[in-house]
Amino acid sequence: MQHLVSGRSGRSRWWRPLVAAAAGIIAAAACGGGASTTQSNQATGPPIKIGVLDDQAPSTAVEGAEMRVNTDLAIAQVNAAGGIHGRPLQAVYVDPKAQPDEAISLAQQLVQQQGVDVLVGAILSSECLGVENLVPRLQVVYVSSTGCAAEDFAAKQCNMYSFRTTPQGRQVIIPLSTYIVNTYGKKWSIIYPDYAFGQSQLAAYRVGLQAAGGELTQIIPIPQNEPNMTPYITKIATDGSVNGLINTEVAADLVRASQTIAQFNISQKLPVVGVFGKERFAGVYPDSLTGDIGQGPELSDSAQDNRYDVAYHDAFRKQLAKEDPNVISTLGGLDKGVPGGLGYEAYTAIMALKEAMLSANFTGKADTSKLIKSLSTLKAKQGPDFPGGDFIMNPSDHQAVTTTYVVKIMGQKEQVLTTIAPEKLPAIGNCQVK
Amino acid sequence: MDRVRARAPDVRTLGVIAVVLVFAALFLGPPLYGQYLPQRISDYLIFGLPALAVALIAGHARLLNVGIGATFGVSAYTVAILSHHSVLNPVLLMLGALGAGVLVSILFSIYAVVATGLEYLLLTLLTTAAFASLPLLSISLTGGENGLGVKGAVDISFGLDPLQGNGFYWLLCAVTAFWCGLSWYLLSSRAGRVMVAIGRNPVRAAAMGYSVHAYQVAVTLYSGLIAASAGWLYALAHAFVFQDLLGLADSVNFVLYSLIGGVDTVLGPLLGTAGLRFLGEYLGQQSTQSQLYVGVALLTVVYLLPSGVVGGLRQLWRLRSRFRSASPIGTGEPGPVEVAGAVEMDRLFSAARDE
Repeated sequence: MQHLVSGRSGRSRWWRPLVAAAAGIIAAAACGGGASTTQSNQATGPPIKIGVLDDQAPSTAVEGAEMRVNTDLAIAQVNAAGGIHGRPLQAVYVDPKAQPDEAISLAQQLVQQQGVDVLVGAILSSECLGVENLVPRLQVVYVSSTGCAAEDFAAKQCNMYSFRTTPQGRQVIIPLSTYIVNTYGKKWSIIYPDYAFGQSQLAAYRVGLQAAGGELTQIIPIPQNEPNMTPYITKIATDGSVNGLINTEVAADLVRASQTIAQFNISQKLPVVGVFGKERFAGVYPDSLTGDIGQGPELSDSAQDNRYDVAYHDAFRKQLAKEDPNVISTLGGLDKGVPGGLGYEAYTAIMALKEAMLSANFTGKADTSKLIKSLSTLKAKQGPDFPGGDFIMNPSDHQAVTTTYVVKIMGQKEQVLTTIAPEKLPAIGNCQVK
Repeated sequence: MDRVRARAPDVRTLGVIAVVLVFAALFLGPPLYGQYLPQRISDYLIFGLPALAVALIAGHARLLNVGIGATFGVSAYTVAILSHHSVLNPVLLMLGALGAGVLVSILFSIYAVVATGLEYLLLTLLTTAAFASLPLLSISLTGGENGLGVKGAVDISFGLDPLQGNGFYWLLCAVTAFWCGLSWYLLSSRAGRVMVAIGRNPVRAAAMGYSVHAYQVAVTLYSGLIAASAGWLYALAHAFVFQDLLGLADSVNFVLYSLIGGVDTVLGPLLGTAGLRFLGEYLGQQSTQSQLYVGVALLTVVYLLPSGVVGGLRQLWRLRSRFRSASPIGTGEPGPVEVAGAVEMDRLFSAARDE
């Protein structure tokens, strides 16, 4: 981690080329076997600083670890390939500890004290919405990374400086709802954690199913951190009155709910729709999730017919080996850690910035308006930078769409049921950036 | 004993000089240093004011209120909500925030009348925990778990930009100096002495004819106003409010800040806030286990300096003076600390009665 250090204006900068050269060497080394072939492309100019708000709190441990590994990986790859017209990217990490006020203060500190050129990260919705609210006043580009799932980011609070590079909320729930209604039927039961997040999921699925011609016919709220799931799970109708179950529980509640669903054989009677992604379970799915259906921008294990994805997963494993032991163990160890959808969000955030910076000839914060213009209209095909699929940024609300996969968990494997092209994803709202 | 009293003005004079120097450094130092320092100190001042409120209500009046965070958060939310309803006049926003803070303080005032000790502590604690859930009752109004941005840019802060220049910083310094000055004045006035005396021994104060409840209500409302002004300034500075502002975490932090700085001093809570927040920021950049180190530092300070840093320094200074004038060891007379305690109690009640 690079630590924040206070500097004095006017201090001699003779050391900068040395630091840049060192960064280039480190970046080349980070790319392992590719170093010899990329030696001539090393970035050696003054660095472009990216302030990364990477939460290390217990509640955001997985997201924080994924953000760290994938940001490091993306930056190393960019620098090994010559950086941004010869300038290396340099991450300046800070830890807001999942506190919105810390995130806002640190974002301000990164820009005003550290002189970062771009801001990235902030996992919790309240954090990234706070930073999004701040950046127009700082006049700096902000790209959310892992997490930041609040619809409001692009649906209500959008501004010209803020961008999100992976689809969220109804953008993914409506296509998923369309798939499950068309495949399994119109009537659905839902269990949800009875607090704000769960209630927003309930509302989103209600809208999504309605748009697809389906409906929620059974709604079962479950208190947060409920240790005994049986009274709630046994309410789920298995008499044929519903066509499937939507499970929006998260974290430990998700594991308990899934175990109870499996215990009462409900997953054998009904299709269960919920989250997927091995990274949420330290690289190994619990048996109780077998049969669950979910959607996301990236598969847990690389798709063998996608060479870009295979290369991305290989590079991820090499990068993971270089990270802090805490990060490695949080993700399940070197043999089980995967980038998954959470890591992919962080990777695409940096890669989208790279593409836009190259196109805008970005040299620093002074070129912010050029970067905004370039990032607003960014489109990219599936390739090394976007191994999961195509990428399209919406210039109206700065909310991107990507290729999305609907998958079924089969033990430790994921079966792709359908692939949804980014053009098929709906807009998240009608916000217009100003 | 007379010699002990004679030494008191020296301490006071030194204290006044120190305070003047601290505020002069506060007003001039960060703007002269430039860079990010004024913005950083701004945060310390904003969080230092609720810590001062805790010191007044808990340290001086001995009401164990852990609900100052609720007052702070409600005021900040009031600014955000009003700004979303097109109330962008800075004076109206300030009055709205202070009014909301007073309303919350009235609730705590009622607790002060109907409960004491542990019961009062629990009431304030549970009320604060309940306040943390308020934003979820009306998500469209408060933004729920996502928080709520403050509209109006620099217009709502009298045209002073919290992110650029020194204007907003000086506004913060002025508000802080105002509350500190007023608190000093009140604490040294007859009413303040009665308040402190009530805190030390409410039964004795009631027997002397003082209306204990009236004074407790007054100090609750006064400290609530200080916390509310901090909430108002927080909303202006950060332009974003969120659920955690209302919860117990901030309330506990304010108690810690004042404990570390000195709960029975005026300047101590501000210095405690700056010290603890700086320590947290610094260690957070050095280690992922920063909370552990902050905890160890807290334990050390609380164990070695139970009166806080400023309180400890003041005690050391007084002890130094008293040791110089104390009677020789082995005479059987009470030691300087016991004498000082008795003198202090007697002085408080005498001063309250005589003035």
